[in-house]
Amino acid sequence: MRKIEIPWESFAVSLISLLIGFLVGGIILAAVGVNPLRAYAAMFHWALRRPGAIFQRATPILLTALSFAVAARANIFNIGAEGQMYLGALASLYVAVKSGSALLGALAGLVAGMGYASIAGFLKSHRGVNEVISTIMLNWIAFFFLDYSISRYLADPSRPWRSVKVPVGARIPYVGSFPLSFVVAVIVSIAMYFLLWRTSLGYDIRAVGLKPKAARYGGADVKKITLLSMSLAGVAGGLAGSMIVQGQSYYIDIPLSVMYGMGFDGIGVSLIGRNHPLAIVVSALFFGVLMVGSHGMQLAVGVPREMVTAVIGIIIIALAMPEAIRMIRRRLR
Amino acid sequence: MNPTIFLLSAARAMVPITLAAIGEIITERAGVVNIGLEGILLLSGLFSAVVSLATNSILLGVLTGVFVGLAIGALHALISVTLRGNQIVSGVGINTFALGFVVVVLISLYGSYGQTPETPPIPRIPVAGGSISYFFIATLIIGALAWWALFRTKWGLRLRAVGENPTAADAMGINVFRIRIIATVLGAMLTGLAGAYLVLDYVGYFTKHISAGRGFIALANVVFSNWNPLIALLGGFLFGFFEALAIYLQIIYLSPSHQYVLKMIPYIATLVIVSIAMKRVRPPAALGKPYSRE
Repeated sequence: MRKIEIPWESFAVSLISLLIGFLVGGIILAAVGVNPLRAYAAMFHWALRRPGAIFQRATPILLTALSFAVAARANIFNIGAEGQMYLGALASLYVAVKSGSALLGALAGLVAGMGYASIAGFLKSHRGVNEVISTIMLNWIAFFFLDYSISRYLADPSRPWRSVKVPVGARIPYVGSFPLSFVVAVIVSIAMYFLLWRTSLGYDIRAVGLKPKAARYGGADVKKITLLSMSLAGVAGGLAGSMIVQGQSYYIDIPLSVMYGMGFDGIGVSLIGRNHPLAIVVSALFFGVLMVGSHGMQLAVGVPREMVTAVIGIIIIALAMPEAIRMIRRRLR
Repeated sequence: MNPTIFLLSAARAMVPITLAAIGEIITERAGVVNIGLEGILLLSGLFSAVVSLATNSILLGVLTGVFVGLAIGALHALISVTLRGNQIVSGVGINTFALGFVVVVLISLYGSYGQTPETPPIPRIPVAGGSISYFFIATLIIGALAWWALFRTKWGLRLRAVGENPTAADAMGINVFRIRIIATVLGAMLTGLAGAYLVLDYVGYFTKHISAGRGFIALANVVFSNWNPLIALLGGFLFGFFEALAIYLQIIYLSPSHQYVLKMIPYIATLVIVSIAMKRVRPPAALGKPYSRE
């Protein structure tokens, strides 16, 4: 078996971007009158005492990050994990409630996510529609479709602002405070890694991503690869929804607050993991720490949890300029 | 429903989508793509509210919105043009940052998670059946000006050359980097103006959901227009029409679950319109590709 190489350069870029994120975040904290060190200390202190919560928080964003990463390998900028996750959650909820089976529920989520993502894949491969536009529109359509479906067909009669619950037999259980849904997410990561690096389809996907023209001369069907990689992305995106509804919340509320934004969080997770399925596991756990810790920060210094989102945004902006980071590295040497 | 009121409502809805699209057309014609429009709308909208609330001046609020656009445009230009970074990633970062940052500012200034107090009243032009915003008139003028500048001036020719074939443009002595930076900043300023309109005129206060995908609908409008500001005016009206239609139907159909279906209308319409238009349009050849002289 081939050795897994660790790309130190990518690792350094991610690390420096994280530092920039925390640094600029610290300046913002100081500007609103909060001691940044106290805020960050409260964040990590709170999170690290709650490992179960970290794994729980990391699970869906690990899967939505995989959705982004697989498409990104084919040079598709899939920001539709949010919508794939919504549809996956709805399908899982429906099937889990009707069948009482955890496996069937998860399968339904997987298929729903795959089908939804392939709409954007098809529009790109056959109509040339930019995936950024189509996936964002599909996200909004899915959002209101869930609101509609839940209020009309799946509402809990005693609490109409949310759906009925997944029956106990169709839930993905916990061992102590550790969610088994996290194991599912890690298995999907490993599967995606093997698919991308150890199969000919994976080779074609990466070839199309790196050099579409050369790949075409090499015999790859670019349209088919585009469609396939979006469908694969949808598998992960849909499962994110399944894991939330079958493994964490057990219901969906009307403004979707049990999952809102977790598809977008996956973009940052994937970018920091340099779109590598195994590195994404680590970056998802790191995001889990930030997100769980944001509660502690809010309690300790009164800064809203969204501060973490702002920091993640700065990290992403920093990740967009590896050239600048390389310059910084040269100076430091 | 009275058709005049309906048309006025579409005219109100079209302004932000159109202004941001015209800005993005200028940016993309020079070869730079900025998908951070959504974030610019949020940040410029928020600070235009903050300043107009603090000074009680609408004009200062509008100027602030444009200035915030300028600042983010400069950042995006630095990353995309000077540092040859990934333009899409930068845009996503801007959007993500805005999403979190606006809440931090809302809490620290107003102690509110969701919205600012109402901004000062804005003057409008009264017409039969309602009123027209000065921003609407400005949008039409800006659209026409942008078309003229892009297609009828030497500056526009150079800008388009930079977006089509930067190497050739460079060989002819055109400063590719400078033109791309100017186009990126200018485009973001127009989106900043759109954000100020959204808050000060269209809604009357800032909420953290105020952009509601309009930055992306503007990107769709750019494609629809085939990178032409005059057609973007038409596209903006079309997208605005569907927004107004959704609002109008929501007033008629009071059943809450049907309201959700109606809210999908602008997004489905956008998807369908872009899918149809896409076969007929041609993006600038060097769009999204950083230029390097090496």
